[in-house]
Amino acid sequence: MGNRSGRARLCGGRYLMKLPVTVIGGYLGAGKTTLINHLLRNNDGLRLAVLVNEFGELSIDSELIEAQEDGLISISGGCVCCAFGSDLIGALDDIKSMNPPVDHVLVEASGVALPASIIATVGLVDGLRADAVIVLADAEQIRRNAADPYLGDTIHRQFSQADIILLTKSDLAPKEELDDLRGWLRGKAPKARILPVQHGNLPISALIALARPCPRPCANPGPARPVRQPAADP
Amino acid sequence: MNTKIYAAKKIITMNPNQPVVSHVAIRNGRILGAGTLEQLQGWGPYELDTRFADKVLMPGLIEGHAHSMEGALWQFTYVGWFDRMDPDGKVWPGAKSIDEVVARLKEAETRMDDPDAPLLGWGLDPIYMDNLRMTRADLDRVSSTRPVGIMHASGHILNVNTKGLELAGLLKQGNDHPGIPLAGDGLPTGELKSPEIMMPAGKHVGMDRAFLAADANGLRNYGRLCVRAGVTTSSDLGQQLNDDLVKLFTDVTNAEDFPVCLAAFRINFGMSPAELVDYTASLRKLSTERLDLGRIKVIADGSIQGFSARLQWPGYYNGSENGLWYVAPDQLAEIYERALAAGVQVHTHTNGDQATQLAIETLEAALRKHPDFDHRFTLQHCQLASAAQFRKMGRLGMCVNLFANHHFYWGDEHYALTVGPERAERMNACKSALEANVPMTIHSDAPVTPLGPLFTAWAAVNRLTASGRVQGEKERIEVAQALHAITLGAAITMKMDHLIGSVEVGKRADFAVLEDDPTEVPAEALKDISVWGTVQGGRVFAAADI
Repeated sequence: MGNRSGRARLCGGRYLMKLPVTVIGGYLGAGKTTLINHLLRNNDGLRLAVLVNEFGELSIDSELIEAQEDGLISISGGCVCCAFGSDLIGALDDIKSMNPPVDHVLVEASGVALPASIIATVGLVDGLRADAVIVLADAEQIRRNAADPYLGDTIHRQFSQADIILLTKSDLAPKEELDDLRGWLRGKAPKARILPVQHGNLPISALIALARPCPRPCANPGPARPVRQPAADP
Repeated sequence: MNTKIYAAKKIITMNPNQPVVSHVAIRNGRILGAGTLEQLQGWGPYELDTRFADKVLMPGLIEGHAHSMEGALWQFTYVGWFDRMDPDGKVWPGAKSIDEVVARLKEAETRMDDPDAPLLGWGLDPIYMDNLRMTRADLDRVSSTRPVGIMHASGHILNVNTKGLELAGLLKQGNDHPGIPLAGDGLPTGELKSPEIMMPAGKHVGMDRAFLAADANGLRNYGRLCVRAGVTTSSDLGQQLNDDLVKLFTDVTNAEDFPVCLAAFRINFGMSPAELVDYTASLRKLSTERLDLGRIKVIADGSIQGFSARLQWPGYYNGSENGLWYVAPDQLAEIYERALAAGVQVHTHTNGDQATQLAIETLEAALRKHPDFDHRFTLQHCQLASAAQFRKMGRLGMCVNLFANHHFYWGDEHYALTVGPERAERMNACKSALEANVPMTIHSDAPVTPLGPLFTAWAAVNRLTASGRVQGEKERIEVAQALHAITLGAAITMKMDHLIGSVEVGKRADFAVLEDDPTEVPAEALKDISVWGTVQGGRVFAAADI
């Protein structure tokens, strides 16, 4: 039966592949919620699992929500959202064993969290691989936050751990200023790809599945990603 | 209307109008009056009770920063360095070597029936063992077949045996995480640092979710420990309160024989600032005689000895990178503003002086929007505050609860490693706080250090470190000031000073019953005073029978 062959394909494909995890970081107001809602709306048929530190920190657009029970929000398109609190590994284990299986995990880091420590934790869970760290920066606010005596070092550490920096609300800044800002950011995070974005409006393919999935089970896949030390304070 | 008059050898009242009396009259669980027998006879018929004729009574002691988890921990095996008393009153001698720790656990192991059940110890502190690190091989000597774990005193490190690592899926090459030290063979040593690693391994060694949250038995055990420490009111500083947990607290504390009033704070996890403030405000009306609700605890930064506290320039003495924010500054501001608008009190954990500065500045800004002339927002720990910060706190109407026990337990560490000599001497600066007119209390943070306000008072008065040095001579306070701190001082920080904290007409009949007079013994003997028990709400609890 078709169903059966579908399942066999799942075993051959999804089952043996590692489930990719993307961490989305950045300070409050940078646009993480907008981005995640955009990705849930435009998921390209991928089942996304969104993990948030606390439900209070992320508001999923209500028209996307299909059901909510036992700490799990079911979202149209087969996506889910749950809060991990102090047990990220437990939550990742739950996501891993979901049926039907999810295609990609998005972990929303709290505003002052360091994404590298979340990536390091992901690397401990069998069957998961770290895909990328995306850090959002509000074009209007970011320089002020980076110069803030309380926040500055945290913001810089977040940048130094990013694979992609999304420069959000970039429509609100004049072009000249935006170029200037990109140059400044490149200095902070020379290895990161910097993408200006408006209203979280970016195709999902630009953000996830950066690394090629392992085509067959690897004997020793090694660590998902080396843990980078945060850069020294400026 | 039954009136009972207790005669005591001495009653220390904390009421400056009559600091010492001989008798106290009680009616309906409240103090009808304090004074001489003759003065109290005017209230009408009474029954004279002389059981305390050779005891010293004080206002019931108040612990302003502890966790009821101290009661739950005694369901596991204590393996700490210092002697410690359990809820039954049994003193467990400190384990002074890895061998002694292993022997203690082995002994507990022989008493277990189920061969697969996990065995969990707690309280290990390698600082006192020349920082010798325990390994999985050590714990394999306890058992190679059942999962065995030890939670460190700091609460930030968990040791597990090979079986425990195996069950957690960590017994493999290639673990690449700063919280998992590896041995020469590429496998984990068995030490697991940081909460996200401890949780998944911890559940296999008995540290399940029930261990981390409150349970009825743990709460009752906590109540018994309070009696032994002379405590009649204690905060439970930081519970993720929800309707189920509030019901559990209500049921347990309502029992006729529950011996303490708990002030359970709602911690700022798991809710947005708006939900946090609204929910906590809604709890206030559920308060009972022995469960006081409606306050918020916010955690701003980490710990100094864990190098996760936020320090001002020049940072850590050993050059460690600055610590972590546990709350975003803008979220702190939102919580303060909403709480002030709703009249909800907030206590904020700030260990480092940068976290303290953030809390001060954030509150000052919030007060401009929502003026409140009696907010009593309190900084908890506030260990590194400078004199200037205390002055500012005094002007803003803030209170402080200083971690006096830290001098003894980690003072040497702070001096040599974390903040260096100059700032170590001003840590937990009780004297500076009082001079700046900041209402002050002192705490144990049990289970981080043992519950015992008389010990905490001793620590603030003597400022001795574990190695016997006086650290911060000028910040020592008088015995009378320390006794005020653990009674009325704590009551003020919790906005309960109209109810408790002194032996005065109208207040709750809460007393600590002591064998000696803390104002007469030498200051260095304050910690050795025996506690007979307590009277709480007029009910008598003897430590020997609890």
